Amino acid sequence: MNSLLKKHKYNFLKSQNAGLIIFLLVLMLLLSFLSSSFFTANNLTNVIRQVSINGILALGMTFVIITGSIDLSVGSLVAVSGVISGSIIYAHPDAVFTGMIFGILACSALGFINGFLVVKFNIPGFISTLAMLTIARGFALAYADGRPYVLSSKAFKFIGHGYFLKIPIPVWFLIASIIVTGIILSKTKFGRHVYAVGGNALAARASGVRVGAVQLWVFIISGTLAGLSGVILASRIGSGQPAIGTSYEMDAIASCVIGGASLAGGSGSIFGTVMGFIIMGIINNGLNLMNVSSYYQLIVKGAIIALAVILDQAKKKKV
Amino acid sequence: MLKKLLLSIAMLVMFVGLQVSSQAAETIKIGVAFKNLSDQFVKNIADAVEARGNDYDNVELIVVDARGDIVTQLSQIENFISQGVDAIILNAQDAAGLSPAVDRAKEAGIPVVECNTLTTNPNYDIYVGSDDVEAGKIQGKYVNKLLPDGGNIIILHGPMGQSPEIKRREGIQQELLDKNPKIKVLAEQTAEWKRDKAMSITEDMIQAFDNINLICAQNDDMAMGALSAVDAAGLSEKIKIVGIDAIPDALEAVKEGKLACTVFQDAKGQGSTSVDMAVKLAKGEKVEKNAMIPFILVTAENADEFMHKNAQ
Repeated sequence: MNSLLKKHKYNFLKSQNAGLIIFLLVLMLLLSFLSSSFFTANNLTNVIRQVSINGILALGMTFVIITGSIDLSVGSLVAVSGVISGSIIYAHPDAVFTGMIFGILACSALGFINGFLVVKFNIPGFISTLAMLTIARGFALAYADGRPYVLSSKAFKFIGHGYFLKIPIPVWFLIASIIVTGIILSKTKFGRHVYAVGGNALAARASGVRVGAVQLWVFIISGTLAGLSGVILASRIGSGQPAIGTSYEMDAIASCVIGGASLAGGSGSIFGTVMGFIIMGIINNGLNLMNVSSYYQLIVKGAIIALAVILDQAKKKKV
Repeated sequence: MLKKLLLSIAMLVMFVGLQVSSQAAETIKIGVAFKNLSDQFVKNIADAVEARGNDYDNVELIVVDARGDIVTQLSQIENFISQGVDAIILNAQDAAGLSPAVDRAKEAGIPVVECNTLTTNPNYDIYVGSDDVEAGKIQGKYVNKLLPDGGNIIILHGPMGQSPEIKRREGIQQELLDKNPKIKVLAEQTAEWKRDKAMSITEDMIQAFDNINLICAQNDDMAMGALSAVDAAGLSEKIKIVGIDAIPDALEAVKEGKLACTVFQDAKGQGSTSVDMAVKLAKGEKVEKNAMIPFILVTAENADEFMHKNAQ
């Protein structure tokens, strides 16, 4: 068992990273030639702030995908967290912290329900979170009566627009999330169990891993991070919007997959996901800087996702 | 005893039955089909429709939401027809996709009020709405006033191919780009009416161009998204922003001078007029083919007047 787990970790360190880093560097080099405004401190700060929303979602998604499941509900959870924290901060402009906590906890609870359905009723994550995708969206719309909570709280604005040590606050949240999730996944027993469940749930169970508990927790983690992402987005756009976040789950999943996570479970890493969402963010930014028409943007984005995964697969086979 | 009881029950049933049927004869049932109630502007229309419906004693509204899906809306209209409604108010999700629904309703003898959006089918009874070209023209005229010596602008579009997106762009073309050749369009991108998308695109544009004078957004949600980005970059003095719709927080921003202008589209007027027209048609009265609700330019001077009109 232990040797099996070690092998997983060993593989990920050796095989995937190099390919992703090279791909990212080539992409950046290419964009630097194509657009003079790409490789500037301002723009790179801009990109990293833009990716923080999707990045935080993708970190949570990584846990779920490694266990061999998927979380389709995160886009709707972003809206739930936005309207709940928005309603509190709307009523009490100084209660920023309380508002954020409630927004995030609501999503943890919804994540718990996702996991509970999977574990207790043996429903595939694809289905339980698909149900949650529409339930949570409906909840957000009903809760806010279809209207945004417009927030003028200065303190709340700081979360999305402020800086600390010249680095935007959303990026600090992103960095903190990367460190915490990175440690959980690679340095703790729970993290090893996440890989074990995704690699072979039966074998994991046989060797004493509490598979149900692990499955439950990955959905709570994904829900919680979606909640965090939602409050940051609400601050960025100065309002809690019930209709926001549609199809965000797709970008999050794509980031994980570019980063080498397999939808079959058992593989993936925080480092890979970080590379994945940075690549996604840079593509978006680069295409906008070059003013590529939105029709072609869709084509280019899809093609690059496919290319990244093909290169990654080829690299894996060689090792 | 038993006979008496049966008799009284029979009488009661008849009485109730009579009551129901006489009520059914009086009540005007109106089916109202909205394209997407999670869109703030459509929701404003819906609120106005319901408020106006309550003003009548004898109007029963059946309100449904297609959530942005053409097929859902088609089947909702079919349900209205089988429910035997007296009139249909249709806020079409798609101009071409919903045009067969209008025919089906008309074949069943049900009058159709098209509200806010038009289908390509000319057989509707009345269109209550506004001409989006007009909105673009009003915006374009004002931009021309703001930048008399020309300047560099960015245009944020709605989803490509939607009728307001095409028509508002046409208005900008006619009143701004054709009239003032010194206006240069640096870039045009779609932010799909969305605040978050408009914010990211604007952030990127600020990096790509250091000479933006004005951002022309085709709706207020996108204008507010652009404003977030411009504010955060500390460029609010340099870059002006204009929007359309006059949603509450955009009005607030216009009042504070953060948005240069917005264009008021009268959701309440469109909603309540639609109900009035549906009632008239259900009673068999004749109406004109169009009831145009005008757009109005909103700047810092008159923003206050509109606050209560599109209030939450």
